[in-house]
Amino acid sequence: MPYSKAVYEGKPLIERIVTVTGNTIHKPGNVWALLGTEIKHLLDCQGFSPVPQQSVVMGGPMMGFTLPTVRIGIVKTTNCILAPDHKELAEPGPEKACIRCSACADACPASLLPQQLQWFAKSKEYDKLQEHNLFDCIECGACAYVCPSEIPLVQYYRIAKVEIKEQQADKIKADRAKERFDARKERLEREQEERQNRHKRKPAAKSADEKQKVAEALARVKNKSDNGDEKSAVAAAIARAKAKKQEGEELEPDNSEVAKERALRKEQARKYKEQKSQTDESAETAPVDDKKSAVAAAIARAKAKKAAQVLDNAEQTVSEEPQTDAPVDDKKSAVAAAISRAKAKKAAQALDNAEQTTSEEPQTDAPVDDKKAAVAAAIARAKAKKAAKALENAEQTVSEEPQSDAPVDDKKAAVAAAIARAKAKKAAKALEEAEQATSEEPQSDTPVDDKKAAVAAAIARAKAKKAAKALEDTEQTQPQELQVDSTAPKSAESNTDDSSDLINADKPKSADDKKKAAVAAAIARAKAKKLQKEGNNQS
Amino acid sequence: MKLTMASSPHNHSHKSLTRLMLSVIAACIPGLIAQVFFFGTGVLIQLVLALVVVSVFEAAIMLIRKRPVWPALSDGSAWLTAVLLALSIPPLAPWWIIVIGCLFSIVIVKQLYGGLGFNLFNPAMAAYVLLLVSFPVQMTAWLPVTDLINTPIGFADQLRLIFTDFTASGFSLDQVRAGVDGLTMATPLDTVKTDIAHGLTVTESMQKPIFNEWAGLGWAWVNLGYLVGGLYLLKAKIINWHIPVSFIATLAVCSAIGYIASPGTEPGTLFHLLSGATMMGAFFIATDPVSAATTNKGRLIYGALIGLLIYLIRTFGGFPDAIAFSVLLINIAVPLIDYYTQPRTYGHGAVK
Repeated sequence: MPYSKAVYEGKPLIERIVTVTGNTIHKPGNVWALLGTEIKHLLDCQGFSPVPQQSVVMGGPMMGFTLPTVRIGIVKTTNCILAPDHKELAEPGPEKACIRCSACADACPASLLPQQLQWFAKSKEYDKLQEHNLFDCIECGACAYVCPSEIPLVQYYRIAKVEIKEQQADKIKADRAKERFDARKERLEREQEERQNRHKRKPAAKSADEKQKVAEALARVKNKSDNGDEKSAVAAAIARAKAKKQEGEELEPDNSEVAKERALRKEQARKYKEQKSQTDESAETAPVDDKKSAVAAAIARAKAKKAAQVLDNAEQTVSEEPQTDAPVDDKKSAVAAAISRAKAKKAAQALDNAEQTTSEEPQTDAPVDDKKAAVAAAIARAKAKKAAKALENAEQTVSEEPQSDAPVDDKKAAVAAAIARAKAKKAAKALEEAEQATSEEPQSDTPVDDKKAAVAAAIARAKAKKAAKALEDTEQTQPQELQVDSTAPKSAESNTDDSSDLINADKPKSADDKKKAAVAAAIARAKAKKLQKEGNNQS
Repeated sequence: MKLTMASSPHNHSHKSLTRLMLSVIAACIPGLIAQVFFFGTGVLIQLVLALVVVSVFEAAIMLIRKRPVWPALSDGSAWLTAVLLALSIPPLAPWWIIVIGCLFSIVIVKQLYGGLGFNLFNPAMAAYVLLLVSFPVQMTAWLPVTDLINTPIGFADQLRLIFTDFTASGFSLDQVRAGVDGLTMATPLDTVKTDIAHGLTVTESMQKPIFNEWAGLGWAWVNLGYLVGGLYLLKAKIINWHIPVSFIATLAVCSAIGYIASPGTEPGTLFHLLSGATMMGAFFIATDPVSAATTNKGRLIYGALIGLLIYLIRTFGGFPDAIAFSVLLINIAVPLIDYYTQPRTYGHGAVK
């Protein structure tokens, strides 16, 4: 045998005995055939005369399988090549109904119930098939052989087995897919949770760091502000915030805004400090005294008030503007100018009276007072007079110019108003100087007598107030009566804005259009409000 | 060269359904001969009539069901049903009895359940029960053995009786059935039952002319004929031994116990085995593969239960014989029996 040759002779299994038989073979018999020998060759060697619808079976008649072609080689398991005619192995007849005779069960070597298996296979009850041990079927073919109904039982079992295997494979695949899906879901959930936890933990962890950093930044800012490098400090802070944003991956976007806000607030605070320090500086230059500082504060307050009042007036006039028709008569303006002039004169007279009283008062006090105080008072008086004169001049020009220009042209009137405004500014400045002088007065008086100085200061303040009031009156009268020069108080107050000037210049042009005027007025009002706000902030 | 592909196995035992059915019909021949010998040729008339009618019904129902007619008809199952039914009814029963029986068995019991292989009940027995319940007079009008008949009737008269209810000379079936003494005679089983009910002992009852030494006159031979046919079926491996053996054994044991317990009212084992349709039932009725149990263990139970039921009904029931009732009743239990008697698959542990 070839198998013992492998041991005794070292000859591998390269050939085997193959039975070539069947009714279509003339010389049936067993032949030694090399593995891989073509079946056609074997058949031809034994005398093969095929019949129509010939079938060639590799293996026996019970478990062998028909070949699709004879042009294939034999393999180690090819024990037989069967080439039967139709008498030898008849084609199976038509399948008939199972009569449950159980001849198949009697024939089954595995003690299965082929008949039941057949019912289940036909109805595709795969779980029942497995319950009845379908996979113990060795496909010997005994059941189909004995079946009187010629049911191809083995074929049913083969199909059922394949389907069950496919189902199982699908199930395994599905299970694996589900496993993978579950794992993925779990991983995603875990990652998300981790991310969330990181978010939660990070701010808590950072807060300490950030606090420290903020404190450091504050300290730095303070140092810098001390040095006077505020802007650079702010810039640095912003830069630092930006840098943090870039550096810190998990830094929240809100932080930068917060930082900016904080920086802004810091800046504001610094500005405020700056202002304070400025005001303090003036106080510091003088010998340290609470009263003096109080006086300075009072002056500042007074200034703020004035500014506010002026602003209010400006707003009033602005609101009144649209009401008054643009094509105003020159004559009316002239009349108004005249009235304003008269009022200005009155104001000037009142100022003079006030100055006189102030000058008189110190005189009464003079015997009591020191000479120095008297001198200071005199200086103050002189300054006040100067201011008054300046005011008068301004008023005169204001009153004179409308007279001359009124009949001529609106533009000229505007120019005149601008000049008047300038003069008014000058006057205001003079007044301020006078006030400063009054504030400076106590400086010189401090060594002498505090009370006296205070009295003098009060008088000076009163005078200054009066002067301011007078100024305000003039300012009030001017806009109300000089309808053309509506922006005078605004520009006279503090800022000659380019835009406001533009609007002013446009005023006469837009005289025909109420709406435009209204818009302009609204803008003006808005600006005025801004100014007021600024004033408030400063105060 | 184009080769034919086929699934294994490529060989077949050359057994066929038709061959199987015809073998069973052939196995009925000894019993049929005995019946003809003792009860006249009427049974042959009934047989031919049944075969014709059954073929017509089977063909008609297959046409209605839009199935091929010839394969269904040629498998022989309908013919077997017809033969069994014809052998079961009284030989001179009116023609419409067998027609109704064939109609019911083929159309309702077999085809309406899905055709061959799907019927729950034995078609011949279901039809027999229907007829017995619906037409008890005609279904119990068994002739006494020919020897005991007063005026023996020929083939033509039997034909007339079956189709016209009267012989050529104008005698009705009842008149023909009258014995020598002018009394209609019942079957041996019925006679014994009635006599015992009337207070006679079995021995006294069996003194009557319709009995021979062991059982009813003629009936014993008929049963022996079916026994021979049954033995052929066993020899030809057309039926398994399990059902007839357990059937007969159970009936024998029960009747023996009854005889020992009460000899006066119990006719004994031999009487039971050779009376009525015992042998026909054991080898031809209960072994109907479609409606019987399919596992060997189940077949033993099935046969035993039928035997037991036959004894109980014969002894305590209202009917003289009980093959049909017993078989039908146990047919109901077949799925249960099959379920609990699955054999142990080779290499597997005991079935739960």
